[in-house]
Amino acid sequence: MKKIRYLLIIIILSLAFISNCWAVESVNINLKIYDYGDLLTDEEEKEIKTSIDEYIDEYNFDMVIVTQKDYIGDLRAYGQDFYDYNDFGMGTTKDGILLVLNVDNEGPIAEIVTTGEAIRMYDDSRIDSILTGMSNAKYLGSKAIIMSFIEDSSRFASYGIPSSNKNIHIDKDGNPRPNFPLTTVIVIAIIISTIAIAIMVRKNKMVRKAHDADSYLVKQSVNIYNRSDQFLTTHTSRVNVSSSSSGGRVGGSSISHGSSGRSHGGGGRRL
Amino acid sequence: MSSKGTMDHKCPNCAAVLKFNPHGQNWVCEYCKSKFTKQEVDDYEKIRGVEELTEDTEEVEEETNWEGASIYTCPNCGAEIVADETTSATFCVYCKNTAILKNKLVGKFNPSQIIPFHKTKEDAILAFKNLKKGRPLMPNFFNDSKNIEEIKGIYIPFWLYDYTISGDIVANANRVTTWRSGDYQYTRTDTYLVTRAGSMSFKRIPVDGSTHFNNDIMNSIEPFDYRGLSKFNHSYLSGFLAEKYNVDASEASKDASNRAKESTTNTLKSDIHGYTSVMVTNQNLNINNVNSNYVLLPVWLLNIKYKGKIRTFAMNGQTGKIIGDIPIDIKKVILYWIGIFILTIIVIYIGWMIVGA
Repeated sequence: MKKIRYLLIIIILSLAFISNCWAVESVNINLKIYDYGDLLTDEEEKEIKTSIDEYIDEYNFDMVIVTQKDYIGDLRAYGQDFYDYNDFGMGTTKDGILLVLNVDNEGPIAEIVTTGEAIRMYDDSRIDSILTGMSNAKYLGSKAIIMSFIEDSSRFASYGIPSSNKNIHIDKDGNPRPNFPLTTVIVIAIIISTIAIAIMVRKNKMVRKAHDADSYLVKQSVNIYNRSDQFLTTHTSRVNVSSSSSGGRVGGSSISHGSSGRSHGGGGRRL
Repeated sequence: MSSKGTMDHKCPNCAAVLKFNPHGQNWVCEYCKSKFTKQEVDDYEKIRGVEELTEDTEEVEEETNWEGASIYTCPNCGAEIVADETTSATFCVYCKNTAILKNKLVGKFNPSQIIPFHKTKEDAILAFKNLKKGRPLMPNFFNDSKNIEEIKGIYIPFWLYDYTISGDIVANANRVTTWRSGDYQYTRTDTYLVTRAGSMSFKRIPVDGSTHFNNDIMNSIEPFDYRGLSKFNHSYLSGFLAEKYNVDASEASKDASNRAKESTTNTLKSDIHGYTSVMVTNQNLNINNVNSNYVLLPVWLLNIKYKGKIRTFAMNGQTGKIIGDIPIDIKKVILYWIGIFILTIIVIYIGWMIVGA
């Protein structure tokens, strides 16, 4: 019975995995621009493709643009799966940045997905700045929005890794990890070794002056014949202890995981 | 038999010198290997005409007084024994016989009680060798057997004080309550004026009565088990050194009374409950009853010279508690510090890698 249950679970999980793969279109990864929303003319696509190629050549990050119209669903998950299952990205850590631009009757929505070293390059602050630039360009049309994305992505890539992400690295699986905090560890090691030596030294200091005679007190002789506890004064103080939590962040980047399990940075909003 | 101010104990079988055996709590003849109980030794001393030393025993003039030291005659070999004014039992440098100096154990110097040695020299040497366990910073020099062999068993003069103390303490006590409401944590501190008054007694607080011994070291080998106190008998001194007091009861009592007062304050303070902090601001304590008792207590002592400074080690001759002024080997400190430092970094790094950062 148990075996059958396990078999069913495996089958269900496998189907879920396959259906995820099937949910994403299999594409020619050299195109880089996939206008499923039909938001661009052929001329615009060519112009954009030229800019994408320049970006890829200069910064060694992949760049992918996907457009949709009236897309219903999680744009972020869609973008992550599109990138992962089509195997975009440069090098073993699949470095690159993807933009999903969806237009519905309320206007354009942008979702940026970063992967590998691009997670380090584009922290939340830079993503927000790119989205703001795209938002400012929205009245000029889809091409202007996309060009704003490419220009800002190039500009930030030229600045190098932001200081908020200097203390993280991307591991071989493409996941962002905090760097080994060597300075902190050295300080901890200094404290631990000094305390350990102090304990050892104290073990050698066996001679202690006796300050009390507790061992010689006759316990039965203790007679407390007067106890008085007189209230004098009271004082109340208060301190602010409000705190904010920041889960799902590594360094200066918010991190989420696609259905493939790979880590992605990025962010999105209605423009 | 006594000879010019000294006395010893003879074997009833062969007349050789008897020595006290700490493990058996009896007397052993090192020549014919016979063993004797205290009663048997006392009986034989009576036959030999050796008088028991008491407060009433008449003092005998030393043969010579030479620059503060007294000269006695060894009852075993007749050689001269030089002893300073506080020594009451010593050894003849020629025949190694114990010489008990009668003059130092009579009148006001006659101890009322004694705790005999329970630990032998071999016990003391073993305890000293074991000191290095768990003390990696101890210099290797201290493991040298030549140093350890110099360990000596000494009966040290102690005053034991009984006190009854009464009085009161006044303290400021705070009761702190904290709670959280919204984004704020509140702390309320209620302050009270607390008074406790009472009385209590202390029995047999020990203070060493000789300036030759460091008080802190003598404090550190406490406590002695006073159930082992016996009426003083000079036969217990056989095989050991002994000192007489040179600090009288009233002078030595300062240490004991200070310790008793500290404990009285602590006991009264421990009766104050239900507060977060208690600070004693005033105390008024009176010692009502004082009683002192002069005793000899057994200590194994070892002095080792290390880098120009004398380091003293002492073992309670009754309980075996050993303490010492153990020096630190600076080279070992540096090596251990570096080792622990590197090990800590390696352990944290491995932990970091396992957890996956």
